[in-house]
Amino acid sequence: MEAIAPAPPLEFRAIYERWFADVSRWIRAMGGPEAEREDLVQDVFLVVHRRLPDFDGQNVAGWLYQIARHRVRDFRRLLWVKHLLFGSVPLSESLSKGGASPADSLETNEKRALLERLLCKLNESERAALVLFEIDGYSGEEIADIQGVPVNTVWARIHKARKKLKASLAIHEHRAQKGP
Amino acid sequence: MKRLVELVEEEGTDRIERTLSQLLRSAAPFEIDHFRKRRIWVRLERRPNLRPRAGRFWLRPLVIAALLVSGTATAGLGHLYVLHGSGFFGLVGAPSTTSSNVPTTPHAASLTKRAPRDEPARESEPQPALVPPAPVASAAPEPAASAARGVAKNTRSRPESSEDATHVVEAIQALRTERDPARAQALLNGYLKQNPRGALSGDALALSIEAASAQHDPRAAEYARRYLAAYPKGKYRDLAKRALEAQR
Repeated sequence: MEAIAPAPPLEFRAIYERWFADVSRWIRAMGGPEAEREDLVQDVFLVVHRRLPDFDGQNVAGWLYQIARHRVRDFRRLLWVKHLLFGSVPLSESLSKGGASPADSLETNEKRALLERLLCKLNESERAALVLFEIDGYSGEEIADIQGVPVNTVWARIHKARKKLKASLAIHEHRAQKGP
Repeated sequence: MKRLVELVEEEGTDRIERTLSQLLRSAAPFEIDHFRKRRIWVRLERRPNLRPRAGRFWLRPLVIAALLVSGTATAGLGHLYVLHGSGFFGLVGAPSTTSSNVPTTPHAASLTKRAPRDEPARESEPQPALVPPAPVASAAPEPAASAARGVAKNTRSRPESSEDATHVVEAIQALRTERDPARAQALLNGYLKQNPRGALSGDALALSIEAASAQHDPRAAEYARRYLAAYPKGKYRDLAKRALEAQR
């Protein structure tokens, strides 16, 4: 039986350069708002820097994903406290883009705000799986790899998320038809 | 499993799925911000051994609690200010302090001190004989006028709280769906007239530029100038600048 060769030591700079975009994308998929994303990404890499000496180097993506997940979870708890104290905390991102015509921009912003409201009703793992698959174009296998779960679990999460979104959307449309 | 945006192209999908697909398609594509990447790296380099804001989870609720207390106090003061009008701080509109021609009998002084709260009660009660009626009558218009000035001042400085966005929504429909820029223009003018500093003024001005440009109306430049004056860093500034350049 051959001994498994230890993975070469990872450099923090290399990890940062290679995974910065993915970490930002994951945080967005988990529901980290645009205004806080920079702080969240920075916090993730601070943890990475601290824990790098203890990391076995096997599944970098999965390791980073778990750190990001914990940071976003902590942030959500904080947001919940804020929500409790202040009643309403804006969660939707600023999605407007310069250059688009005003009408188009308004329409798109309305759609994005509605999507954000619907996604807020999903739990973190379902939301991340759905956004990564539907919007960011990840494959089921890639999501399974970074989330550290079997592929079938990923499909189940996406299926559940779709069902919840459809139900929420149907309720929203029904209310919109009935009027205020 | 196929993606929802692909499934929609196939037959047998229902309306909710199609709507959901449109919503998913509208999501902003993720773009790497290289400037942000560089900025975070610089910050990480400056404090590589720092723990990730330890205590942040506990510090923030403390800050929030402090803000809550101060906010409640401010809201309480604001509520009192609204109740008493501009005479709350005794600077403007307080009858006893501003009118010099009111007689200074002890009873009159006590009445004028309580003036803002006790006004209705005093009206229903018979006037005491100590106070001569003529000077009080002559003193009354001044506080009233100053209160009116105060109200007018408050009204001017307060933003519109109950504005109606129907005109803007109808204008968008007129512009985009009915292809009727003239109607859109009229609706937007109505909104801007009613809400010159409304929450949607920027959007309304930008839509006005678009509607006027569609009609080759020279007022597009005027709207553009108004927009740039009000929102020099607004998100439609490119549109406004293009309208100005087109006018030249």
